[in-house]
Amino acid sequence: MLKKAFFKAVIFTLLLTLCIYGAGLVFQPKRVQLQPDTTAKVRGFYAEGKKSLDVVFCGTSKVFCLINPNQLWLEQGFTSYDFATNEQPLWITYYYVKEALKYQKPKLIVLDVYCAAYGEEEPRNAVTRAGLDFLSLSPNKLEAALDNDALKELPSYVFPLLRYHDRWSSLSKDDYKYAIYNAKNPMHGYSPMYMVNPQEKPEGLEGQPIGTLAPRAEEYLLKTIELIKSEGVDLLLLNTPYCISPQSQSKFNRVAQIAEEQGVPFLDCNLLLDDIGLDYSKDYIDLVHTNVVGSEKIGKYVGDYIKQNYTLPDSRGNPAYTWWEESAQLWLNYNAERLPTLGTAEADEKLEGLLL
Amino acid sequence: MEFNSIPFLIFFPIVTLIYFLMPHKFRWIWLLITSYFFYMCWNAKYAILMFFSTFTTYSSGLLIAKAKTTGAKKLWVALSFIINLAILAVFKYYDALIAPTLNSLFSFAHIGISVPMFDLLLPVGISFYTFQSLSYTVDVYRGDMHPVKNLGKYALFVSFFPQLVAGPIERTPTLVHQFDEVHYFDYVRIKEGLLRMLWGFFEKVVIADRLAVVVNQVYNNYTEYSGLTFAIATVMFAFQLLCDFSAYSNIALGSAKVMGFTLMENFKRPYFAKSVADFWRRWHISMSSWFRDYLYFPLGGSRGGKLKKCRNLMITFLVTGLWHGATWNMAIFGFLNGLFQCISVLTQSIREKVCKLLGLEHKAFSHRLFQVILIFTQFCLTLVFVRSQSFAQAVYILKQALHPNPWIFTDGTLLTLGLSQTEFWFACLLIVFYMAVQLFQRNRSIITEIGKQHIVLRWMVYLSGVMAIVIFGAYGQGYDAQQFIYFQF
Repeated sequence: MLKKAFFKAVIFTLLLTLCIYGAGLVFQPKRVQLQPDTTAKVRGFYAEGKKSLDVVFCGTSKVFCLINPNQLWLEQGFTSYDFATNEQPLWITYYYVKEALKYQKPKLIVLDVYCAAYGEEEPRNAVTRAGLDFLSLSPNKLEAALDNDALKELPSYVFPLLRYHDRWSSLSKDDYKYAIYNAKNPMHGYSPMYMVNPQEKPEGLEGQPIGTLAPRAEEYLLKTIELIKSEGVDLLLLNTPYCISPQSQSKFNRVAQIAEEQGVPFLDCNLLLDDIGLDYSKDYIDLVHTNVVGSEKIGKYVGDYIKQNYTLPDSRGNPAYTWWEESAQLWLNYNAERLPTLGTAEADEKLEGLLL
Repeated sequence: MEFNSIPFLIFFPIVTLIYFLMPHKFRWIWLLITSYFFYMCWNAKYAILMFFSTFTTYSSGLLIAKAKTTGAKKLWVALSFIINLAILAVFKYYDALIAPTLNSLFSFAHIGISVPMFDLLLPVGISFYTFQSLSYTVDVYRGDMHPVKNLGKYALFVSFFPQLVAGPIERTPTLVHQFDEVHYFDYVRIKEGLLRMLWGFFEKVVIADRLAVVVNQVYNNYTEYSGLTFAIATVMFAFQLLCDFSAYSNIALGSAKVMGFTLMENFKRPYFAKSVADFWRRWHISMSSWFRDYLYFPLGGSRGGKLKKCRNLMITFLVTGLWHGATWNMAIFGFLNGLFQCISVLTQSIREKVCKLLGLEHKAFSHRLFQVILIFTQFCLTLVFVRSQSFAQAVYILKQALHPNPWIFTDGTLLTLGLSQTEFWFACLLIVFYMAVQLFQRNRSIITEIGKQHIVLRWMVYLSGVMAIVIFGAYGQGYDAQQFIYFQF
């Protein structure tokens, strides 16, 4: 009887686990409403296929709003992906880099260092969740969860129902429709923005002293550099241009110092504004994000820099890369349709179906 | 360690597994160790207090049995009661009730004396284990029970973890001998025990803790609400209290059953009671029967005419009220329940005459429904004093409840009660569901009925039960695990 009872208990536990896991997929909030939402970006990364990317951009929205992989493909011929989420601190980016190295083994990782200027030691739960929820379940995800959230929350990263069960009264059609989301992302993680909000060009950035970084930010910056180096993958530190204050620039001067000590190139775009040619009165949607016009200029500059400094293949015309040809065409059509709305009331952040 | 906590979900399976793996002879020692561990998870120091109560009542049993004269027996009973009730008075009533009341009286009489406060933390479950151990003293005195020789087994009777902190308040004749019984691993019994625990968890985290949101919102911000909102909140409090306490009892009975022990039923559909006396035969049975057997009967019970019966009822209910909490509001709760029962006793013949005159049929559904609603409403009235923080608040709420404002159902007021519209109606649906389950169980057990079904249906019910708790339970971020209400008693 004991044997039978044990067998029944095992089967029941398995069924229950399956139910709790399955329901968790439905209850987990689907971040698919707005352009910067992360579900399609993170899941799309896995859908690209293993070892199919030449370059992976890791970091914050200052990557996925400013770097367009389709543009890089069309202009430079290499494949890339914006594997980034909103306001992602370096202590989460570290695990994204680990994930990128595990799934893609790219030739180059471009690390957005915008969050090195963060002073915030404690991770905010919404940011942590947005960053980690849609990573595939793996020891790396659990390690990231342990590092960024309370121990008692760990089970909820395996069974999201434990965290999101109280959404039962607000479930939408999307929650069921995208419960299992493995679609390819034709934007390759990029979020094109069509609003225009004039900004002032930052001044007085040259000659600032070398500042200090928050200890945790510096620790994870160094850990990430070491990790990428140990895997034999090239690394480029990148700070995309924004309306930075001179005080903040001193923090990036510290990043430059670290880069020099570590022998890693650092492209600090805030100090290269004249070369990039951004028009602050037309190319921005807010203090830190550019619209499609601004991102095109940055993409051109960063793309040229990568092409000149790294040996990357040009896969255009290669029959094995039809997905890239298709997605680039989709992007061109989408942009042609949306570009006339630039700066108008119609230019909002809502998704227009392309990503789904 | 609360039942609705992760530590208990780890503690219980480990204790049970080792319990079944141990030789029968030593199992009671294992239960004693784990029961003390369970208690010490709250406050290790207070385990000494519990042991002291155990030791004094244990000794009283031996001394009573040895005593030659009735006078000597009575002396030991009195001593056991004085010591244990004094501990209870100091730890439960001194800071909360005795000292503030004395200070108010001195101040009122302009006497310059101030009674000091001790700031003692209320030991969890003190009312429960004190009464449980005192019943032993009386049972030995009355000859209903031979004194227990083994101090360890007696200590286990007082501290048995399933019922330690919130009952049921067991009696020695029904529990102690079970520690000598041989309990085998019985699949059906264990399954039924686990199902009972599952239902308990459902009552607690799905129903009681959800209703608590509305109750807390309205009662903690009572000046913002009026009229029928208080009726809604009070009815919800009635179900919160029942589900909360019944949940604890079900988890206690279920976990004891898993290990092979039978504890006494504590609730029998109290909100279907048709008279006040009937209600108290169904509500917290282990406590009300304790007061009946060890207070009401010794006072004379219903002997000596209606007036004496009413006096005894009033005393019993006043003490019952104060047992529930060291506040004057609790005393009023007890007083009102006693009063309602006295009115019921005194008006019985008049009510019967009126019924006869009007041709009302006692067994008619309408008549029974009227009785059920009347008794429930009376109980709700008394609960206003239980939930209110002060006498003034209770009076304010009762006064306000006299101004009906039915527009609250349509003007959006319901959305200000702490739950969204969907959640609010879901909470109402849960009450209906709960009552339907109670009705179903009138003359059969739902657990036995489920057990008769095909395995597919059975497992679907089990899985749905667990999933309902995981999905609809009030836990996780945004909720602090709500303590069982009866812990404070």
